[in-house]
Amino acid sequence: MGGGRVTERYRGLIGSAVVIALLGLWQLVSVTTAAGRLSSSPVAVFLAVPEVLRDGLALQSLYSLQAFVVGMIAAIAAGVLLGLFLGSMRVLTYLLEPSLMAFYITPTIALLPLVVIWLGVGNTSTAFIVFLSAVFPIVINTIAGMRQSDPAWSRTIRAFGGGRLLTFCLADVPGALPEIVLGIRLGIGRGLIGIIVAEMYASSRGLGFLLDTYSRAYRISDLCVVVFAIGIVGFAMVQGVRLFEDRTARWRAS
Amino acid sequence: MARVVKVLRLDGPFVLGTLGLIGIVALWQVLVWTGAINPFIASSPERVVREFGVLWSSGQLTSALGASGIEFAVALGLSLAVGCIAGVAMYASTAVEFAFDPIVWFVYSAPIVTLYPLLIIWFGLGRPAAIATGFLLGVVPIVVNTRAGLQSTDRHLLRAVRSFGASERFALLHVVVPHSLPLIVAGVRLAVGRVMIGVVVGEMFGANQGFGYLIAYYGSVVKATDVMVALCTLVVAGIAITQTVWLFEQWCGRWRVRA
Repeated sequence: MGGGRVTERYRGLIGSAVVIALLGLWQLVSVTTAAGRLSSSPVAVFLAVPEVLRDGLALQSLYSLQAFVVGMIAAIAAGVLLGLFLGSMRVLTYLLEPSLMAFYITPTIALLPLVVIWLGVGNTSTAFIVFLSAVFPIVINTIAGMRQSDPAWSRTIRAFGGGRLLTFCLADVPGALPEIVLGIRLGIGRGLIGIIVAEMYASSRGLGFLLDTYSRAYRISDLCVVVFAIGIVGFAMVQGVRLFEDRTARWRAS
Repeated sequence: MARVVKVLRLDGPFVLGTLGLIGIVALWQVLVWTGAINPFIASSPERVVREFGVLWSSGQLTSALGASGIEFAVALGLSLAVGCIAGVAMYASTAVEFAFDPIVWFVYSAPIVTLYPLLIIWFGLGRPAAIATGFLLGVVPIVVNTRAGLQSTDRHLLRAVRSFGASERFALLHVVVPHSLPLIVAGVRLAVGRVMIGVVVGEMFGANQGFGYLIAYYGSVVKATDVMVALCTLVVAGIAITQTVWLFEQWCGRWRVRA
């Protein structure tokens, strides 16, 4: 670790310097070598933004977002409710957790061809894939959270004469909250993969379809614009949930 | 002996979990028999078992296992090598940590599959793109967990061995590594799942072998049973790998004192 001490103060500075340096390197490589044809460049990507906007980036985003939100809300509602229900009864947990775990481990995106057979090409399929991708991390983590919740809380509530319902509402659910939020964050990550792949495979609209179109036409700068747009939105979503997660974890620790 | 009895207890997780799995499969079969779901598009356990025999003896499943297995192994191996080195570097030097932190978090949170079309253009269809996608998905949890594991080492323990005159090497081998290994292996377990997603997605588009290809191919010719066979094999393989890593994780953490 020798040499000059690098303090927290420089975190942002060093981080952004590296990002700028990498962008510079990318620009340099693409200008000076033949690889530039296949890798675009930061300037070219920036200049391609108006073109992609004209191609309907906003409309396609809305279309993707709609399917994503529908699938995600369904996954959160079903996942949390099922998780709380299963997690509150030991027998049910034992009975169904291994099966749910199997789905959690499998890349559910592999169900895509079947889902297309069941629901056809389009928005229903993509929303359903988002649901399938996101629901298992949420269920599994909710169940795990129920197990984590502090037994002292429920004992306290019982000692003060609280019933089972009260214990569930005041101890089990809040106790599991950090894991529930963690599950939702993992679910969002998987749901994003789900929506993009589903649209690439089985849709004629949305951001995944736009990606597919650009890549088939070798419009690499345009492709990069879409990649960055999706990246930034995904990053913002996941980090937003992470902030919320830190807050729930903090009050449990104290 | 006592452990065996505990595992085999009728209300224990193992017996009930198996029952649950059997129950779900039975329900699926019953729904098909009663005509509630159409076996042509949803298949049935009976058909899956029969078709499994056909696909297995025709060699399609074994060749898919081989192809996907190699891609998976290469992608995971690359993720491990790069991830561990990057994680150690970020632990060892604050400057390196600050430098790559934003990029690591971006790659962790942004849906990396969007790069897949680009990876195809750069590396070509099929195997190379599948490996690259798997690697990009798998490397980040290993970086993050390696760093977090190393950083989580108990300062008091470190100070204790040092005050007894331990060398840096001794402290590293006997305190830092055992302490951080469970978290690092947990990162590998996360990576296993993500690499599988990457490889399967990579194979679904434009490959000519592997599970992703089998699934996409049989899906496109509407052979639901064959899709299910490939899926079920994939599930079993996934569980086997994840459980192995999980057992290793438990073994690495065996020094911990149970609270």
